[in-house]
Amino acid sequence: MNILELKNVTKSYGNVHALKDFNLSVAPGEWVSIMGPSGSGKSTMLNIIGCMDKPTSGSVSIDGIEVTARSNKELTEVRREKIGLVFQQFHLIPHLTALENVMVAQYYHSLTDEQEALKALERVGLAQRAKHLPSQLSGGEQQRVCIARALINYPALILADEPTGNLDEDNEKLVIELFQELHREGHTIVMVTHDNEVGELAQRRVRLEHGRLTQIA
Amino acid sequence: MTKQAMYLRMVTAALKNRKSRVAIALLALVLGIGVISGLLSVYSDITLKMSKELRSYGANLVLVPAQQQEGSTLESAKLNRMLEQVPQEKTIGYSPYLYGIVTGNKQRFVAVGVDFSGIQKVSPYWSLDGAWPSENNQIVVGSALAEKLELKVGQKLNITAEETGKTESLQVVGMVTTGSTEDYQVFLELNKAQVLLGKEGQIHTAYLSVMGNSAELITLAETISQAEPGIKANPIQQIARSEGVILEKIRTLVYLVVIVILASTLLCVSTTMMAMVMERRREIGLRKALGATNRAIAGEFLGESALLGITGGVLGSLVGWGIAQVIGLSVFKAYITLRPSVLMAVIILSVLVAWVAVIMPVRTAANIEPALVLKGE
Repeated sequence: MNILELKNVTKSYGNVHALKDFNLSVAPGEWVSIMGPSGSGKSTMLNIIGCMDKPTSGSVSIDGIEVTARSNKELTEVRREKIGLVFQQFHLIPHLTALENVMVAQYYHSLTDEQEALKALERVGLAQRAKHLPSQLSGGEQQRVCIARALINYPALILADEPTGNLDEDNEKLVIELFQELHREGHTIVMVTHDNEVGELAQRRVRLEHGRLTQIA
Repeated sequence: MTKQAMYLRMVTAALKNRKSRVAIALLALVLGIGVISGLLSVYSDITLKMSKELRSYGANLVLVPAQQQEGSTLESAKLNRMLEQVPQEKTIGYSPYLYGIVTGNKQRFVAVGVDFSGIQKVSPYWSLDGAWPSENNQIVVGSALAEKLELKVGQKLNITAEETGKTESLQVVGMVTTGSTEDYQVFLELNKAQVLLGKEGQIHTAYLSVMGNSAELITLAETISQAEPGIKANPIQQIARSEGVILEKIRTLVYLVVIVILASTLLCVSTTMMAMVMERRREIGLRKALGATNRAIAGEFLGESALLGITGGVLGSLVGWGIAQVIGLSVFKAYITLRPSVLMAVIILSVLVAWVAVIMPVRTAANIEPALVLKGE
């Protein structure tokens, strides 16, 4: 069973098709990168996979759950249970420490477990920075906290949106290594990126243009 | 950290992170709740204090001759007999009045024979400059008349009764201002007046101040009128009635002021909370992206506003207590009692205001899309 299955997904805004008959399957443990220029429909697709938007037609299933016709509340539940999100701009809550930022994901998921959150930070090499506020962390460190937060609830799918887009070269390298490790450990990753070098590291690359799939390598 | 502890941590951290906004909302609450708390504290004490205060407005029973004719008088002896009808413990005070036209310093004016110790009780609103007479050749002059006669405290005044032609030399020891006819009259001891005016043992009228509500006064008046056929006792209704009317007006005013203050506090807190939601749109979007339901987001804002409400309520009660004392001391010349019920009520009110104020901001928060956090949109 595929972790992610998009069949003939179309998203239209009036006469404009942001996505047109889009098909994509992602197997467990696979790392797929989605590339394409601005306005190609990447964001729309990301929103649909992330259960933050619904397609106009077609079907989407995540880890065996058909999400196409679900209510917003049910979509929130699927997102909470199945998806770990990594953002380009990290999006850490500024007034909470690194550890608490990881625990926020636990809080909305089920129960908070400080030790487990600490282990997740350890996993990304930031145990010693657990009590620091985001403003006291570098961009790379913030992104690693964001990754620890994405991993904390054992998601079926890690959905990364330009995860290296805001990082310098050294930090980009660190974060890429982390994704490679996650991939080796068997995590399923869907990553949207502009960066060809980063995209090349994935097992499979999907290219979007004008809402259509143009190339699979 | 338990889930509850995490909730508390998120709520307090969110407030701490926006100190200036929180300070504005808190200030609005403290001031609003402070004034409301002060008003309610005063109001809960007011029935008792107003009652005492209104009683101090003086006479509520006037005694006149039953046969009202020009110049008809009562006998002092009858008055004394009549006073026995009034229970001692209910009598606050009384004063007889005997009027007569006199001349002095080439002016005509009214001289009034009174009982000075009684008049202080039946007319406590008299504003006296100087002293009350302690000897029977001392007098109190109405302030307007004193000005007309160019009199000062300590000076002598010779007055001559028109009817009898008798003259007395009297010393001015005080000047009275009431804003009424008393300002144009001269007051002297009853006995002295009776001799001067040639009306020994007589008075025109007497004012009584007794305790009791409107119904009790009417009953007492009837009892007196029946016991002494020559005397007619009339309750001064407006005082008794105005007590209720004034309290009713004050109640309406308090409610009105409370509503206006609540509305303005609500607006201020709500606007501030709305600004906080707008500033935190991304954070709210993120929480939703991480799986927070609208209910969870609402729960956090309710928690934040409850914390704000409790703090505002407690600080507001303290401010209100201060306000109550200022009002109490300046209006009633007495401290206002601190009532736990008022304290609890205003803290609960403060939390309710904070909760109502957060309804609109929570609705706005519910409409924030989680997709906001993607692609930096």
